Amino acid sequence: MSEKKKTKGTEPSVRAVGLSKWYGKVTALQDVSLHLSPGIWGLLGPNGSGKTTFLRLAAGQIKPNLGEIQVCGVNPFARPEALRRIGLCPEADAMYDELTAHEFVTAMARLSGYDKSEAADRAKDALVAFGLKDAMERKVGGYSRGMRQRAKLAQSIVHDPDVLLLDEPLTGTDPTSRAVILNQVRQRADDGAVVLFSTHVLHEVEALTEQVLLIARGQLVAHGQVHEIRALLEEHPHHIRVECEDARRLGAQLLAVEGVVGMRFLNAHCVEFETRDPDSTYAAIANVCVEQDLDLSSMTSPDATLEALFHYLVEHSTRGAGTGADAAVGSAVPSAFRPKPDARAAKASAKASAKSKGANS
Amino acid sequence: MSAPSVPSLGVGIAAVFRLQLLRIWRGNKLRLGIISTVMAIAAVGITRYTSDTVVPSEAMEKGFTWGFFRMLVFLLPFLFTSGAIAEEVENRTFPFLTARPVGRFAITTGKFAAGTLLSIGLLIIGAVLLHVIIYAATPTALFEQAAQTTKVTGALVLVAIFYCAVCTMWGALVPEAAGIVAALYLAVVEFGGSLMPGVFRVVSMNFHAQEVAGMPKTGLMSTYAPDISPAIGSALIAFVTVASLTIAAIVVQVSEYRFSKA
Repeated sequence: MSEKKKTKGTEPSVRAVGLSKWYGKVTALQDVSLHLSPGIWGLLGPNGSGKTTFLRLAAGQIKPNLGEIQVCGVNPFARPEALRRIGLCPEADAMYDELTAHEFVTAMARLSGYDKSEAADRAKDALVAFGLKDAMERKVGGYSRGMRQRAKLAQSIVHDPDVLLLDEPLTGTDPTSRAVILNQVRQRADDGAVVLFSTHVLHEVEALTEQVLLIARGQLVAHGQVHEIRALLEEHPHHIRVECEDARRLGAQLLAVEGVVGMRFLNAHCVEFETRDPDSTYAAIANVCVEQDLDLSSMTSPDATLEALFHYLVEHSTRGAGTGADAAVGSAVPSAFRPKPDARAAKASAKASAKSKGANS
Repeated sequence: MSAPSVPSLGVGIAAVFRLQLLRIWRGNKLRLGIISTVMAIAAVGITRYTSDTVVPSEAMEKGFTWGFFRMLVFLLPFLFTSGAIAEEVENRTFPFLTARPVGRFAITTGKFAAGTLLSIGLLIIGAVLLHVIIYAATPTALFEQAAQTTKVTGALVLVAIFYCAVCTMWGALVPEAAGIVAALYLAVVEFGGSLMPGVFRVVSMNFHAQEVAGMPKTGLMSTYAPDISPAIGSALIAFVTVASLTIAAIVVQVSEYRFSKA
């Protein structure tokens, strides 16, 4: 794509401090603070958890009730200088059905400030990148769900945004479309953009990134690298599943190992250990297998998948939500993953907190 | 990686205008507008040439009164502008526009401009066609009456711009019921108001437009209706147009449009 009409700005970023949003009596987002730097970020959460609300706030579609959000250092609501750097792919399967994909994406490029020919060229490039080369002159009303999704994604990248916000981008896509989309998302991140995509399908995140934001009931329950979050969940026992020729003999040997708090025999050849000290347990299993001359078929951890982590965190958030334990849920989020607000951000947070107290009183 | 610079207001308005025009062009509303205009003209033309008692100037006056001031001038702005913002919100396509750096003022203005252009375009074409058809058999009158037709068309254009602004405003204020609210406003305040007895009809800009056009007063107790000078009438219509458009622009600027279907 042409580099004409480009301007340089601040480093791509998304920063939220004490961000809250409610609709009437329904709290959609509560006291969310985070800082996203360039790279791919997965925004995970069940339906109704506040993912879309967060993305709308970041895209400048709605305003926070408390706290603040900045995209590339600017509050995005109705602010063209922020919006020019944002690419948004909304979740809704809604488009201008009477237009062709090329007309649609060209119009979006023109709304970003490109002239006619450059907008048309950029639209063409974006549509080709998403595999719509042969269908770009057809009306989007006749597209399949996956093609519509790709056309929506094409409009979100047509202006080379620094911050790409994708709301459930893989919904309704077939494996081929999915591969094309994931490839483009990776490319954007490699080019230095902040890519934040929401989903409730965990393997979609695992396929793309390790950096996740877990959101449940409007609260950010975890924020950071999957394995880092996992390592800090000390109160959550780690599970190790071992398949070997004699599971009972292995189990008997590991009873004495420090940190092992339980075991479960799934069958004669498979045992699952529950431990609070995964490293020493892994080492002990290896030692026992060598000493006892046990044939080890496999050793896996069901907790290593994001699925387990997600359910664990959501479960804890659900238990605490709506009570004074909300604060406890917040504190369960590792401090290492909390954003380190600068003085201005801290001031905004304090202001938001004061407002909240005022509202409560 | 870096995004383009923020487009100027003019570029933004032009981009929204083109998009809106393209969408109307591809949709059914333009066809409906053209059919309505043709039918209004055809009805007057048929009456003119099938009755021996109808005087051309009288046919022209009735055609403007019933076909234009009481039908097309309401219908066309309603068709092209009442859904300009409301349908985007209802169909959840509005984020495609509001997530772009054109600015919300440009969105409102561009959409209003596109709807207005089509409305007044059809009205002008319709008025010219009507004039030609009615006076085709009397070439002298064709030229003699041109000034009056131009005057009436100007008044129609003036009030049509106001109706476009007011429909845009209702679309911005109540997107979930823009069509019904705009239709009620046009029917009750504007159409009904223009026929109300005496001084009450000053609430209707349609009445003022007819005064500007020099049309004879009709409706209930029309003799008691005040005489408004064309200058005052035009200024009043221009003022409420700007006021309506300003309200629309402010509402779009600050609204979140929560997309209730989401």
